[in-house]
Parts: sequence; C-alpha cells; structure tokens
Amino acid sequence: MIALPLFGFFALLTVGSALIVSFSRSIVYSGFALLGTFFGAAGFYLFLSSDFVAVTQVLIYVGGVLVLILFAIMLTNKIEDATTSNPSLNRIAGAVLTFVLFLFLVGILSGTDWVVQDEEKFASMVTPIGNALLSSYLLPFEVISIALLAALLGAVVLVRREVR
Amino acid sequence: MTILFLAMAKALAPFLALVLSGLLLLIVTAFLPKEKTRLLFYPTLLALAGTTILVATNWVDGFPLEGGMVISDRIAYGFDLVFLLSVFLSTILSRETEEGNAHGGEYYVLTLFATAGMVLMAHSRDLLLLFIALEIMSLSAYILTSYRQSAKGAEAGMKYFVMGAFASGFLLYGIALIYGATGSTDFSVITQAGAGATGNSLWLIRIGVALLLIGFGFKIAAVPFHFWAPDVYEGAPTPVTALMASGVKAAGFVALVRLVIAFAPFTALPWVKILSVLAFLTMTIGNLIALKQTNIKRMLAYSSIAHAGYALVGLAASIKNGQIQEEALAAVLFYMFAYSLMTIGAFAIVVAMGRKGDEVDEIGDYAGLSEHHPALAAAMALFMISLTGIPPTLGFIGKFYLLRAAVSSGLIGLTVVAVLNSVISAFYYLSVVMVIYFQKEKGYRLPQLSYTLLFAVSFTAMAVIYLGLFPEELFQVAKQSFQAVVF
Repeated sequence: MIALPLFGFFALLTVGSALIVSFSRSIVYSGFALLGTFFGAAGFYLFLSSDFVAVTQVLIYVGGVLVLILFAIMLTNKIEDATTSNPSLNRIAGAVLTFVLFLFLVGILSGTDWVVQDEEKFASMVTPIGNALLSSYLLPFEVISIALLAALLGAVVLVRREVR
Repeated sequence: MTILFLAMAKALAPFLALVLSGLLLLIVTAFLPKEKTRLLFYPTLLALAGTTILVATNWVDGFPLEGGMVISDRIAYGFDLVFLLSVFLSTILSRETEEGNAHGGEYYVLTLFATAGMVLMAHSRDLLLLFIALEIMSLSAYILTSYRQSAKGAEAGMKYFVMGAFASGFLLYGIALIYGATGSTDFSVITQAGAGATGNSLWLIRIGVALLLIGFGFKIAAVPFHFWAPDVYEGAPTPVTALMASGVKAAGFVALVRLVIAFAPFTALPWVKILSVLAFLTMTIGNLIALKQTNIKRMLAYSSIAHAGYALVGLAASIKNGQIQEEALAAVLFYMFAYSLMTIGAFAIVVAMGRKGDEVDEIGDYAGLSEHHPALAAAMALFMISLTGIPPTLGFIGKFYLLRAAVSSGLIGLTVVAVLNSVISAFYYLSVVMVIYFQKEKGYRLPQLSYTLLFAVSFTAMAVIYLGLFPEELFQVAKQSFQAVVF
C-alpha cells in the first residue's frame, strides 16, 4: 500500500513544480523547476507500467531538453532580470479560462469508461514497444527519420556563417 | 501480404520519389563547389515534374487502394497535384532570389522534403502518420522561412516555429484523447469505434476533434489562429511566402477534409455552425485588416487569411444533415488550385519587382509600372482582379463553385457574407491596380525580367484566364476526386 502515497508524491512534485514554472518571476527558477515536472511525469509513466517510456522521459527531457533550456538561459545576456524575462499577463482572465477548462476536462475524464486492462504483474514494456516499432508502426518509425533529417539540415543551415 | 505491400508501395510512391530525390540532391550538393549549387534548380524541377506525372497517371487510374496507414485515393492525388503545382511554381520564383542562388543546395533539398511532407499528409489515413507528415512539412517550412540571414527572417522563422509547435501541442492532445476513447489512431477504426461510442467517451472524441480543428486552424491561418501569418509572410523570402500561401495551406485543408469525412458523420457536433463561424471570422477579419496594409506581402498575407475563409465556407457547406456533400468538397479542392495559381502569380510579380538581395515590398513602389512594363502591369492587374473574384477570371469561378455549394446546403447567410467580403476586398486589390496605372512613378529602377520569371508570370496569367473561361473540365476532375468517399 505504498502506491497511493507514492502517487501523491509524484502528483505533488509535478503540479507543484509546474506552478513554480508558471509563476516564478525569474526564468532561471522556472527552468530548474521544470526538472521536477519532468521527473514527476516519469513517475506517472512508471505507475502505468511503462518502464521504457519513463526511462526515455528522464534521458531525453531531463538529460537533453532541460540541459538545453538551461544552457540557452545561461548564454542569454541579462535574462535573469525578472521584470523583462518572465512577466505574467492577463492573470484574472487566464485563471478563469484555465479553471473552466479544468472543470470541463475533469468532468469528462472522470466520467469516461476507459479501456482498462486487467491488473497484471508488472511486465517490461521494452519488448512490446520494440515489436510494435518494427511491425505495425514500422512506417511512422521510418518516416520520422525524414523529419529528423530535415531538422538536422535546418540546424546546419541556420547556424552557418554568411560567406560573401 | 503482397496486396497490402503493393497498396502501400502505390500510396507511398509520390512521397518516396520526392524523399529519394531530396536525399540524392543532398549528397550531390555536398560534393558540388559552392558556386555551382545553383544548378540544383534543374534536378529539383525535374523531380517535381516527374512526381507530377506519376501522380497524374495514378489519378487517371483512379483505383483506390488502402494498405496499412496509407491510402491512395483520388482525394489524395487531387491534392497532390495542387501541392506539386505550387511547389513547382514557387521553386521557379526562387531562381531569381538570393536563396536559390547563393547557398543553393539545402534550399532545394528542404523544398523537396516539405513537398514530401505535404504529399504524405494527403495519403495518410492514420492520425499518427498524418502528424509526422505535418511535422516534416512544417520543420522544412520553418527553416525555409528564416533561410535568409536577416533579423526579419530570423524573427519570422522563430515566430512560425513557436506558433507551429503550439499548434502541434493541440494536435497531439487531440490525437491522444481520440486514441483514449477509441483505442486506435486509424481513421477507419476510429469511425467504427466512434459509431458505437456514447456518453463521455463520445465527448472525449468530440474534444479531441475540436483540438485537431484548432491545430489545423493554425496551419491554414484561420481567425482566431492567424496571428503569426502576417509577420511570417512578410519576413520570409518571397518564394517561400508563395509556397506557404499555396502548398502549406492546401496541406492544412486536405487534413481538414479528411477530418470532416472521418468525424462529421458520427460525432454529432454542430459542424456546420463551428465551420461557419470560423469561415465568417476568417473572411471578415482577414479582409478588414488587409484594407489598411501598405506592404504588399502583408496585404497578400491577410488576403491569404481571407481566402482560407472562403474555402472554409465550402467546408461548412460539405456537411448537410450529417451527410457529406461531395460537390462542396470538390469546390474546396478547386478553390485551393485556383487560389494557388492566382497568389503565386501575384508573388511572382513581387519577386520581379525586387532584385537579388533586396525586395520591393511597398505598394507605393509599384507606381508607374504600367508605363515601363505594360505586360507586367497587366498581369498584376489580372491577378488582383482574379483575387477579388471578378469574372471572367479563375478567382470568380472558384468562388462561384464554393458559393453554389453553400447555397445548395442552405447556408444563405454565409453566402451573403462571402459576397460582401468580396466587395470589401475589391477596395484593396483594386487600389493596387490604381497605383500601377494612375500614380506617377517615383523614379524607381525597373525590373529586369528573366526567362524563368517570365514563364512563371505568363503561365499563371494564362491559366487564370483560360481556366476562368473554361473551368468545367478542371471542376470535373475535382468532382471525380470526391466520388465514392470512403475511409
């Protein structure tokens, strides 16, 4: 019965850090708080017994994306100045809109009959994902490489120096 | 297994042709000396022309096949033709600008990849593949937007990228909800599972569809998801702007068409109302803001928003009592074709007025064009008249088909709004004509026309007149594209 408190911990971690990300006036704090959100999400994936996705989440988001964001923040001049880097606009309208959307989504999500699988013993998802990627999802898997190639090519094009 | 394989191969053939030629050019450009990379212009056109022939023969063939996640039906091939035509013409324009010449190689490769993405969007019948195809197109388009290394280009590319990523978020959330409700991303499975869905799981699909509508609304720059369009259109190199206004927009519409066909019959959403409001806002706001523009690229950007609104009228008309109206969808396809031709023609003249490295964007700079370049002036006047929708041009015919479909679906109010919008749009389109013909020249140096540009302008101009007079055959093609719509 450790599951419930553990779930609560991850939920608090995710939502709490997300709140800091949104409301902190300094973008440096926001960037670091994103760490908690990403870890919390990884925890949720574990609860869904998607070990592979959880590991990928940590590797890519914490190890890659977050470091990239922090580098971008550190390398940008004077961005730590809170008044210019991270202002909040339209607080009241935003709060109302978000709250209505929240109630709406909660109402629907809680009332839905989700297709739930029977509770099984925890089984690793690596094999099923590998099988799916090389059988029924082979086409998207291959096609993504073109998207990656375009992005790679774009990165090269965008950072090259103008030679005249 | 072999039949499935054949079906997939056939549906993927145009995509693969474009990707492979892109990869080939990428390898070639690595070994070409820098000043020779402009030569890639020719193989790019060759690849596009070859793919067009492939697509056209498959359209004539007309035998729909589905396999795995892809489909080869006439809807896909019909839209493919619009994409390929737009990319072909806008690539011709790029010959005259810096992008096509200075650092050649990658520009053409990315153009081919963007086209491949559009084509795959038309051919996918799975939300997952549709999304990846959209990303291939969008990523290439973001980079093409900021291809020119200037502050304006960087701003445009960044804006486009951030708004595009935002739109992708909506799309993914929508796809996730639909997957949650139906357990699949395949259109045919979704329609089957959705038909039996009730209560909350139906609501889940509905929210998913609404999020998808928002996501694709960004891509076609429908109001209120249009904020990025003017800045991006202005900051991008003109040939890329032409591509965005024609090909990328048509790709957004093919996704919307698939969405309507797949989801309208069972979701019981107020589709007609939603699409009508979207069309109304897009037309009206696009046209009203266009009135105030002095920069021709911004003006054409708002005009492109307005024209997306006209096409949305056709989409709204395509659902009547939960039934799909093929003729209205055919009118949308026809309009995409017509609008691409007119707007690329107009952008060709914007390119012609500039020279390598600098662009002439202000409408005032077009003063006195009629005295020095009567042919160019006449062509610009023709495109403006066609964009307004005055007979006997292609623009008029396109609108006529759209509005006829709207009337036959009982959308009288929306039809009246569309006609009023055409009247409003006449103010700013015809004011360009006025400047060209009646204002004194400010001593601007006049453009030199190259043969490629001359080809682009004369081809689009002739098409606008010829198809304006004899549209029937082309409309039959559009109509047959939507015969026996299935998933």
